[in-house]
Amino acid sequence: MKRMKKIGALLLALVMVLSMAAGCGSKAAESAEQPKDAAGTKSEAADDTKSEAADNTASTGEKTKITAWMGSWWESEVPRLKAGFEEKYPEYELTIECLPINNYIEAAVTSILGGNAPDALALDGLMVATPVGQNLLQPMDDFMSRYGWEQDQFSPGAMKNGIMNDTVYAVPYRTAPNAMFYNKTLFDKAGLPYPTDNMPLDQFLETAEKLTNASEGVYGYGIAGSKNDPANVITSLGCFLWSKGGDFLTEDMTASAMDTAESVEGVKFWSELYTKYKVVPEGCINYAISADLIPMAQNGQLAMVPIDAVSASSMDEYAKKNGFEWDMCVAPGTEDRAAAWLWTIPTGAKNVDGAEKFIDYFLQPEVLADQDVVMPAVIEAQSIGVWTDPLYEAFWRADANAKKFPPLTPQWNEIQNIVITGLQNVLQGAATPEDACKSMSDEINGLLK
Amino acid sequence: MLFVAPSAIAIILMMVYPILQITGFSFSKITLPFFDMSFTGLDNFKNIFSKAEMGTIVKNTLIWTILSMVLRVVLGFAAAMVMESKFRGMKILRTCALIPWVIPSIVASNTWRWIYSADNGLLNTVLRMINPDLAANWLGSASTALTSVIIAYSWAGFPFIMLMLVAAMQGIPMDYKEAAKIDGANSLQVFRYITLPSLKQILTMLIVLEFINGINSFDMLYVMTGGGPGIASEVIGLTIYRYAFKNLDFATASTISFLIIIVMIIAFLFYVPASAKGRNKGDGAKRRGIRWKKN
Repeated sequence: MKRMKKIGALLLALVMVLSMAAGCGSKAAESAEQPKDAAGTKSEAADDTKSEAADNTASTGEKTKITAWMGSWWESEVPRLKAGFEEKYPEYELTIECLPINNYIEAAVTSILGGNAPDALALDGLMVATPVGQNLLQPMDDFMSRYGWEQDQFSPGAMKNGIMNDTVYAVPYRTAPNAMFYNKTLFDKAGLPYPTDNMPLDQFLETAEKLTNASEGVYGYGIAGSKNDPANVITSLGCFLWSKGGDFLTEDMTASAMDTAESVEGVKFWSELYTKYKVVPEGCINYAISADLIPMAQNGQLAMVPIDAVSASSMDEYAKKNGFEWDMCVAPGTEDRAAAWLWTIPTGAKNVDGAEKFIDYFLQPEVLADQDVVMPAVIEAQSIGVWTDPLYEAFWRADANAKKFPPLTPQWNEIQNIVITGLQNVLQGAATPEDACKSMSDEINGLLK
Repeated sequence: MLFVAPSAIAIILMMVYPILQITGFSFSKITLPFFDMSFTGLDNFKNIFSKAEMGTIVKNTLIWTILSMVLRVVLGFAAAMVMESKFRGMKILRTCALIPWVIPSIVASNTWRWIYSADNGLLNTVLRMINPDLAANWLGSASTALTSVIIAYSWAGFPFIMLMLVAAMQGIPMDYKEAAKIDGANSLQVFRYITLPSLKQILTMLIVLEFINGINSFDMLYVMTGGGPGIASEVIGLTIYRYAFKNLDFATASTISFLIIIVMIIAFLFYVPASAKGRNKGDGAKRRGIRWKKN
C-alpha cells in the first residue's frame, strides 16, 4: 500500500513538472510570434474586431453590442446616454456598466486579462500609467485624428493625464480639480480674514493654527494619509510638495526626486501639520478626503479642507443642518494636482469601432454638459448648462491653477505605494522627513533601474 | 467509482491547474496581456528575499495568524461552554452570537473602522468619557493597528468555532460525564478528562482551518488599515494582492503564493498525523468510557 502511494506521489510530481515545462514552452513559443508593443497589438486587434463586428452585423442584421465601464456615480445618467447614443447609431446596442470605485481598477484589469474587456473603459488619471506599461490599453492617437479632436479642446491638466511618451492613451471627459472648502463661521469666530486663492503657505499654517481647537474636536485643516485611497493622499500632499518646488521623479522620469531639498521641504511642511503643529485631525494617517475629512467638514469640525465638486454640491444641506456658512477658494500654495477621469480602449476590446463612436458621442459638448455629475473636461462644455453656476466658479479657477500631476510611468503604482508608506512612517514618528525621503528615493531608484 | 470519476476529475483539475500555473509563473517572467512566460529560474525568489519589507511582512503574518487563531479559538470555546449550559433563553443567545459571523465582512470592517476612528469613533468617545488619556489612534499607530484589526477579525470569526464546538459537545455521550461524576470527578475534572479529550479531534481541525484562514485573510486588513501605518499591519495576503492587482506584477505575486502553498502543505502534513492520532486516542477514550460505565 505504501509503495503504491509512493508511486502515485511520484507520478503526480512528474505530471506537474511536465505540465509546467510544457506550459513554459508553449507560451514562450506563442509569445515570440505576438506583437510586443501596444500599438502593434492595437492595430491588428482593431482591424480584426472591426471586420468581425461588421461581418456579423451585415450577415445577421443584428445590432452590434458594445460595453462601457464607468464609476457608479454615473448610474442616473445611463438611460439618457444609452438612448442618445443608440438614436445616433442605431446599428449599436450600448450597455453601460457602473462599478463602485472600490477595486475599480482591479476589476477592470482582471476583466481585460480574462478576455472580457469592456469596449470603452473610464479610468482615473492615476490608473492609466501602469496598465499602459503592461500593454493593457490601446493608443488613441488614431481616434483623436479620425474624429477631429485636438488636445487643446480639453482642460490642459486633464489632457496631460492621458499622454505617455507623446502618445495619447486616454482622452479626458472629466476634469476633477479640488477647490479648498472653508468654514466661514469658524473664521468669523476666530476673527480671521477668509482665505484667498493660492494663499501663501506660511500664512496658511498660521491661519490653521489659530483655527484649531483640538479639545472641541475642531481642526484648521485636513490631510489624508490612507493607503486605501492613494489618489487622495497624492492630492493631499501634491499642492505642498509642488509648491515647495519638489516632485516625485526627475523631469525625464529616470530617477527619484523625492530626496531633493525641495521635496523634503514639501514632505516636511505636509507632515508637520500633523506631527508638530497638530492642526489636522488625529486620525489623518488613516483618513481619506472623501470618506473621512469631508464628513468632518460637513459636521463643522474642519475649518479648511480640499473639496471636489460632487461634495461641494451637497454641502449647503449640511451647512444648514449644522449651522455654519461656507465658501471655497483655490488651494494654498502656487501649484496643485490636475486630476481627471479619461476614456480608454482596453487591449482585447471586442468592438473598437463602436467604442470610438461611443467615446466621440460622449465627448460632444452638448452631451457631456447635460449632466450635473462631474465637471466636463471638454472646454466647450464648460460654458454650457449648470457648469456656469456660481458654485463652480472656484473649481474653474482651481482647474486653471492645477497643472501638475504625478509622473506617467508604468511603475507609478509601486512608486505611489512607496511614497505613501514613507509618508505614513513620517506621520507616525517612525522616520524623519529627511530619512523617509531618502528611503523612498532609494526604493524608487531601485525600481526604475 | 465510474459515477464519481467525472466530478473527481473536475475537482482535481480545478485544484491542480491553478497550482501548476502559479508554479510556472514563479519561475518565469510574465508579459501581459497574454501572460507570456519566459523561464527565469530562481530570479523571482531572489528578488523577493532581497526586499527589505519581507521580514516585517512575514513577522506580521505570523503574529496575525497565531494571535487571531488563538483568540478565535479561545473566544469560540468560551462561547461554546456558555451555550452548552442549560439556562433559559440560551437559544436566543445562541442566535445572537452568530450575528458577527453572518455580517458581510466588508460591513463588519467598515463598522470596526468607525469604532476605532481616532476623532469621532465610538471607542475613543467612550474612553474619553472615562479618562481622555485612554483615547488612542488605534488604526494609525504601529503599536496598535495590527492588534486592533486582530480583535475585529476574531470577533467576526469566533461564532464559527463556537458552532462547531457546540455541535461536538452535544455529541459527547452523557454517560461519560455521569460515570466520571459517580467516580467522584468534579466539574473541572470532567472538563479536563472528558470534555477536552473528546473535543481534541475537532479542535485540531479547527486550529488548522483557522491557521489557513489567517494566512489567507485579506479583506478586514485591506479595508481597515490597507496594511498601514507604513507596513505595520501588512500581511502576506495584502502583499500578494498589491503585487498582482496594483503593480500588475504577477510573477512576484505568484512566487509569494507558491511559497505560501509550500507552507500550507507542510502545515497539512503536520495536521494529518495529528488528526489520525486524535482519532486513535478518541477510540481509546471511548473504550475507557465503556469500562467506567461497567464499574
